[in-house]
Amino acid sequence: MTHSTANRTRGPVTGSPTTGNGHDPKLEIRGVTKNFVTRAGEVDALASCDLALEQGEFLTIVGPSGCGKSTLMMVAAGLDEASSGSILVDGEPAGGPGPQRSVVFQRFALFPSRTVADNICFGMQQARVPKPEQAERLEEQLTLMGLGKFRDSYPHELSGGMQQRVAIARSLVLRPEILLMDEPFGALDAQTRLLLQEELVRLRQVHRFTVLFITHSVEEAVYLADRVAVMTRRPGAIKTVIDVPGDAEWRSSDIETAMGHPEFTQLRQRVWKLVKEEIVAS
Amino acid sequence: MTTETSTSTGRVPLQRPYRPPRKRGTTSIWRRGLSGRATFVIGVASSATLVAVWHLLSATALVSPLLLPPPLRVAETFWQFLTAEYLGETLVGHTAASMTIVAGGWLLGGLVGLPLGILIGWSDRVRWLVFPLFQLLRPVPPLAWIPLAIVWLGIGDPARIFVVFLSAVVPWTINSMAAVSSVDPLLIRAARTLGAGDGSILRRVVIHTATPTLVAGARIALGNAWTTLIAAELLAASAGLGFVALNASQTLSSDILLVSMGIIGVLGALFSAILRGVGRAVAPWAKEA
Repeated sequence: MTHSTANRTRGPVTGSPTTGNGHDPKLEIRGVTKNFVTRAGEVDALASCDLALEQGEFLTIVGPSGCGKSTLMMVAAGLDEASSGSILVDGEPAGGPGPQRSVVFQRFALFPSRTVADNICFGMQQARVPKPEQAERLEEQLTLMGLGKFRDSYPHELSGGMQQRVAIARSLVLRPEILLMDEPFGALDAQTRLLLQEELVRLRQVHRFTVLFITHSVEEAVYLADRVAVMTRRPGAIKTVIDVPGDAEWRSSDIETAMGHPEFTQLRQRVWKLVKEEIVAS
Repeated sequence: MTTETSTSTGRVPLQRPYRPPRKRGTTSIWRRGLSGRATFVIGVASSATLVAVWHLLSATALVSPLLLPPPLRVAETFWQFLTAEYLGETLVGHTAASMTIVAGGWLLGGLVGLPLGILIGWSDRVRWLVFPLFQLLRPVPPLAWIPLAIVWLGIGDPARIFVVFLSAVVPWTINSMAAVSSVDPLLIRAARTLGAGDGSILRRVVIHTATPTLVAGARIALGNAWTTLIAAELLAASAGLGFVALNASQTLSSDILLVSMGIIGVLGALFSAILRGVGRAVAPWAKEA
């Protein structure tokens, strides 16, 4: 095994899980738990979750369905409050939702009453970015995401893949430091999904944002990530975090080549086994 | 294994001419989606048929002209009535009187119902506070308010406008509320992550997204207001289409009665069509509801 495994088990970690080089992680999920009160009583959705993402890191979370991945994401985004624990950005409590932690949702969440261009500009209008700069950044995103032809289209006129491109552009145009992606390709067909995965890799080479990415696809998790976090069944906790070697040969190849690479296959199998244990046990 | 002879097995022999499933060209006219123009033609044709049957009925004297005057006479009356006065006003004057009352009641209804509905849909607190009261008042038919309207406002236009207002404010409120609360909460969450605050979300996301339903609510409210008009004009009116209809029935002038009823029908349909157009104009992105 060429890669090391950081094995973080349940329960709060002692002290701050700072990254190797001593400075604060970009995004830190510290001892986050979440329980809901339903008619059936109290439900624990998340047992204590701890994760720390370094600046520019791409971390994917996989886990059995219903394990609380999305809940963790909503807490990380500030859209949901944790029952205990905290979310830190650059070592400071992150507070409510905002453009610095941009979210890409599985169901796109585009504004149906706005054109593609208007959707992309929404956040900039909120932030009162000067008009000429808005136009410039809009053009940049339209080109980057291949949306030029659709600038005046309404979301319902676009395919799912195109809609998600718009949603990604709407996030990226705000130059977020952190991008939270909640199964962003989960609602897309297999081909579109592959294309967008590759594009995401390409986008990351342009903007070095920090990404927390949730998926139920093990392949996707391994292909995209610097580290893959596997979650336990409900109440969800981080079971294991696996490093994906940055210098792996397949990393520089396109997705179909990468997926055939023995090292990739090995890694995928390893992650899948960990996920499967949780599914079988539940 | 030839299929030709295997009819006994229940399989269709190949020689039998293949009948494709009904395609567009052969589909019955009722099943097909039609263009706007075609539906218009069909509408005109069915109305024309009705008039023809009406004409035949009166021409063959099957029905007394006192009860149902022939269409031509109604048309003639309409023509005269455009310029000649009946009960102190021409047709234009009566129509204007009616429209003033409807417009007044409808606009007041919107002034109250639109913001009220939006607030009820948006804020739980407002809903808890206002909705029970609203639900209590809602089942009371606008006509049941007439006695109270007279006591409060006397027998004039204000009382009539009040009654029309009551009939309009309910659909204004209910539909605005439904429009706002049916906005996908995910859009609100997305807007928050894009840096929008409450006010901005309400204006730029919720109301913006709800516009087509809000306009639909306005249309239903106008329909209600218009149909309540006749009842409102029973309040000792001195002008208006309902007032004309009431008087005409008392003097057995059924031609005038039919003219006023026709105008009420045509204007009601026209308002509805206009607001449909407004809906399309303000929300070109919406799929037709």
